[in-house]
Amino acid sequence: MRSIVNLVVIDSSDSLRPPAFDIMMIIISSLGAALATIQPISEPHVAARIILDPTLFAATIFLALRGSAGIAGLIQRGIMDVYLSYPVSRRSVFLIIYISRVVLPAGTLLVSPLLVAAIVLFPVVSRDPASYIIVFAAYLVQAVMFGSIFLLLGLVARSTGSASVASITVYFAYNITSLLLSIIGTTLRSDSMTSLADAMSFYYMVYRSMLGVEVELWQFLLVPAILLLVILAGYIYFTRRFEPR
Amino acid sequence: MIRELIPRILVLVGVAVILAALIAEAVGAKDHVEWGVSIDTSSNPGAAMTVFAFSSSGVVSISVEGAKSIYYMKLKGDPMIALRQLSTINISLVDQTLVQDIRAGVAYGAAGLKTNPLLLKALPLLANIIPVEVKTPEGGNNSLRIALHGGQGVLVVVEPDGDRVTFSMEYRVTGYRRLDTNILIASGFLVSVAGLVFYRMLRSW
Amino acid sequence: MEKIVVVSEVWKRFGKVQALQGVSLEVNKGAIVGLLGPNGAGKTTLLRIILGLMRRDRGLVELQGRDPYRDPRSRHGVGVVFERPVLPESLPVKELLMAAARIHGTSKDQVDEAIAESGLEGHEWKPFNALSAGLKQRAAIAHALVSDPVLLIADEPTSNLDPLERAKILNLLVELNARRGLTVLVSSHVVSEVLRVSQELVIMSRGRVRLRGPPEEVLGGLNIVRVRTSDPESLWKLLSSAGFEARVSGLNVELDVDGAHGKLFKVLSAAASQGLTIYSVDFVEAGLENVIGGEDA
Repeated sequence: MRSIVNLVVIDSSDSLRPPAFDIMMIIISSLGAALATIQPISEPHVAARIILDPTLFAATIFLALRGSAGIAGLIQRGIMDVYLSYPVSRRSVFLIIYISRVVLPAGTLLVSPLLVAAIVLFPVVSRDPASYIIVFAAYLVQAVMFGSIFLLLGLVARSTGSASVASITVYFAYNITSLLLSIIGTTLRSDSMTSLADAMSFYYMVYRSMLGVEVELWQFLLVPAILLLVILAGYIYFTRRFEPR
Repeated sequence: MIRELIPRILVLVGVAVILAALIAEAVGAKDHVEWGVSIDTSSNPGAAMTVFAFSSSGVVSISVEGAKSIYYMKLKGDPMIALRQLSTINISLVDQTLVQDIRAGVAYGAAGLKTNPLLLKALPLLANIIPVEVKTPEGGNNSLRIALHGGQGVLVVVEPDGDRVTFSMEYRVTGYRRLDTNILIASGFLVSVAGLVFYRMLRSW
Repeated sequence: MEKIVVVSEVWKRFGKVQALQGVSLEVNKGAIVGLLGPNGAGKTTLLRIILGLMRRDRGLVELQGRDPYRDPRSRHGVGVVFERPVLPESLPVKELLMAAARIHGTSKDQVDEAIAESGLEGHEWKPFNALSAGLKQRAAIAHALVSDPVLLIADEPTSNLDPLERAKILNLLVELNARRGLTVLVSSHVVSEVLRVSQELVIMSRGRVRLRGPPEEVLGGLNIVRVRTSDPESLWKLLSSAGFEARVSGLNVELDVDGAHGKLFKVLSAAASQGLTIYSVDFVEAGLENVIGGEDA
């Protein structure tokens, strides 16, 4: 455990390195500030969704560019060699880069505008903080899912440029697929297609259920299932096949 | 670096809160909005109006002039989408007007409906799918008062009594409160200072 | 004698390239073993497999009695210096060393000692990317020493340094071996460096171990030497005046050292100090061409 914490300290010095990360934080916090003040948001879960919708986009692009390329750079520059030369298992090193390159940046980028909104809209958010946090958790799951895909791409791509391009491509492909399913589903009046399009956004499913709209169980499980599969694929690749060169 | 993450977040959040106070002073939220529109129904067998509380909660009062029958549905989700989806049952929209009032957290719009008049009369049959309610106006005028939560909307479909249908809408925000501007500036300042003090403490350890 | 590294019949392939072909090697505790060979001989691959950074296709590897690929405990007390001195860039070096020490389970005193031993004092609070090439290498050595190592694995530790810095780093390895009993496995393609520090020499070429043993024994069998230089005529004169029978062929000077390897390297050092550039020193033996090369002065 001590090794994991200390290696997270070392790796986060690169993954959360200022000023790029701080600039991103101040931009999305300011956006959160603007969104929280220019409209009369009356309910905590609505506040969380309004603040986090644009933030998720920004956080995901950041993870694609900085996270994925960061991992590829880690391998390119030889720092992965240093990590793997510590008396720490590959399982632990995978966990460390997962925390440092995916969970911490995604969580921090989503939480900072949410904190701003919580202060500005304190009388509203304090009425039901749990629903505010639940919506945040749903967005975090979505961001971490994208981040996990980017991490896997960064490990496989090995070059920073390829990792960024592949990550951005996958991100847009995912969203375009969801959009196309929605359009085609509406045009063909196919409920299953529109339901699948909706289910590709975990936060939307959680939000809709909070509005009282019926959401099927599989729609809740789709994104977490993708997340688990990608983590498993990354874990198996890193612990059994990955070789820094 | 990770040790300094919390003070970094605090400093930036504090700055953003101060910014929020300035934005609130310049372009703060509204708690009330009124709107009206008149739709030519001489060549259309119906008219529709929709209100969607996308970020606020509130009470909407809609009055309709020139209506023979009014069907209205309260929807969880965006009724703009429902309005567009009317095309799937061969009801098309004409003379569409759509206003998105971000400062009131509400979007509203109206349109003429081009369709077979029988289809409009059949709308209540959808009641087992969506909760369509019917109002029979007295003397061609009627008004509705509906409470909307954030993310909810209302769709009103009117069978006209003559050549024009006039919608008037008033929306009053409920349940919204934010911290006072001065308190925001003070708390933003405090949060930033707390972040700096925390940072200094970490450095001196 | 306790063996700290055991490599037996190890094979490794990268696509169409057979990087290692049945390599076997043993490192005794307390020894300095030099791994010598030209670029592409498989030295780095072998060291990476010994450290568990890479899988082997076949064969056995034991680091402190454990399989390094499967058991991270095998790397306890193993310090590593990579060819390119790379560490996370933006963290002050001392903070990084403290974190590394906590990972290895060593103390803050060990960090201070590593900084002093590596000659990094006065620069330890700078971020790694603010250091010069020589200081970066020193930081990398300090990083290897915070583990309070029983074994130091150094892959071409002097490759990016000027001659003065090279000498300091090599002296440090010898000193640590003498003072702490530190076992050192050092790779290089520069003959004179490895000869200077090693008690045992392993010569690799094209993925195989070609020769192994004490330096005098190993080099004793390699008498035909080809030196590539910027000024073959001047070098020929220096060699002739030292009693060697040499002949010039293009930019190469070839000679039979007849066991006088130490004398040859003295002449080459003198030549380098006079401004001659020595591009490479190849030991040419039947079936063993270009075993060693790349001495650049």
